[in-house]
Amino acid sequence: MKGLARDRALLSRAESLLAWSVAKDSTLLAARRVAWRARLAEAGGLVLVVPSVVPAENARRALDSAQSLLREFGGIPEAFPRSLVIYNWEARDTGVVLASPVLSARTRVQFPLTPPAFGVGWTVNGWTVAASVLQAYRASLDDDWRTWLPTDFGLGGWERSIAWQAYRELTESPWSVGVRCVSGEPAGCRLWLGIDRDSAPYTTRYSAAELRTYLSSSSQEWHTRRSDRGVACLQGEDAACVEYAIHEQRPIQTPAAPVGRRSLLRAVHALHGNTAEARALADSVGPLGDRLARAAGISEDSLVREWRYWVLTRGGRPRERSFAAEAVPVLLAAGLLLFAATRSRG
Amino acid sequence: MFKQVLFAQWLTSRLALAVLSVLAFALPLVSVFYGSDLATTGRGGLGEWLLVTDRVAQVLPFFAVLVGALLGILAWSPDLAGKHVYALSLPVPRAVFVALRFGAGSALALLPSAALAAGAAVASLAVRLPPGVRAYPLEISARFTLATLTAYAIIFALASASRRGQLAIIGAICAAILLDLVLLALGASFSVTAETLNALTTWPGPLSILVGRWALFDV
Repeated sequence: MKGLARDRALLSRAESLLAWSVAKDSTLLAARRVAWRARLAEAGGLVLVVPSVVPAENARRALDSAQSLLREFGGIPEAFPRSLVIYNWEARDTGVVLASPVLSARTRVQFPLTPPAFGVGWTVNGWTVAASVLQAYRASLDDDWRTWLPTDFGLGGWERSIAWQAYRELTESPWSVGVRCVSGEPAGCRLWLGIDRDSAPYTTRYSAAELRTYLSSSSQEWHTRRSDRGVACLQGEDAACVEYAIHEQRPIQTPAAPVGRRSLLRAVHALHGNTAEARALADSVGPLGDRLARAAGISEDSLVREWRYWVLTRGGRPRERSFAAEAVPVLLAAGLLLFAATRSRG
Repeated sequence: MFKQVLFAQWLTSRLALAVLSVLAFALPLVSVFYGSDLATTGRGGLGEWLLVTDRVAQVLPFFAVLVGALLGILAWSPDLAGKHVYALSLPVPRAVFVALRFGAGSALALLPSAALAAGAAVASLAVRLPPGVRAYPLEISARFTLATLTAYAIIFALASASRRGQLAIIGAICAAILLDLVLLALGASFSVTAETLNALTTWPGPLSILVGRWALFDV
């Protein structure tokens, strides 16, 4: 009897604890639902959907920052960001905030939140918002641009460190077309940048010997040896090297790495303005080199010469004026200063 | 009269001119530090060498300003020391005397320029350049001469000005800086000194010769 009473008491206690736990979980879940409910933030036509845990002020600042970054880049039409809804996938019940026909018709683009740091909760970073717009724009372009553009093709300006990176990438390029470009050959630069529509890029942009050297390097050899064509290439068969490269798409079709390709867009931006950059990206006719040259209003060879000089001098412009034109202001100023000196009483 | 003024200025400036001329001759030669046969150097070597020439190029405009400023000060130093007694005792109008001094200083400034030209010529001949890289010895020498002349003219004019004139110029510069601080405090993005500097250093500003490409070897 005593045992039965004790069992009943224990069971009752267990049921009470279970009910308490369920109630606590429900409360927590309810609080979580409220905290992560979607909230709309809007500024300058840009619409952001974030969980409610993100402070409203932070979301607005992120939108302002994203707009500044996109304005600085200048390669995206102003109307494009307004056709998007940029949302974080953690936000719940987005259907409620996006119920209006205007917003529901927009393209949805995801972006990540910045995790909580010491003393700071979940926040939105303007850079990630702008980057998501940039990627959405890239996805809307034609195949040629989508294939050629690097992942990060324009945000944040062109700092010294990136200029140095582009410089080293070109001057230390392992490909012969890169050496030809540094030597001043526009055709070499075009091949290195991969801006011509080559029907056989692996034949025109790489030599068989270069492909063999690359495919036999320590990072690639293991992959190469797993294929019959790869083994034939390593044994000296040139055609096998080209076939293997085409089949495996290694190395990438364009010898220039992402920073090198980005430098071309950046040079167009710096030398011809962001409207030229925007025109080039919006153009879908012809090879990429033609599009960029048309947008800049110069020939393709002139464009790559300008770009080459810009990269090798880390932002310099080719000598634009005759030396006589440079001397005239100096001589005039010297004459004026001499006149002033003769007039002064000392 | 010019020969006498030139000789007097030479006596004052000869030590400085000797040192500056030696430095001017040596500077372009630093560009060939990495060796003389670049046509066969490796890819990384060419990139590093272009960097070195670029770094030397960045020193040249400062050196030109130093040469011009020093000569401008030295042009007037005997008169400042002797309280212009000698100048005022000469049987020439002041304006003519100032013009003679200016001319003499400009002529002496050609010495470091000639040294730099010689150094640039030696450096250009000593290096076997790879395709795509060219040497610009004449352009660099002419640019250096003009930059020296600019700095010399500015300092010469400042040194020849009256005390009141010098104070007015210094006052104007201080007022511009003060105005900028006020504008900054008010949150304005406009800057008087920045805009002035921009106007002076952008062609056709007189200081535009100091910016731009100063590389002896360039792509």
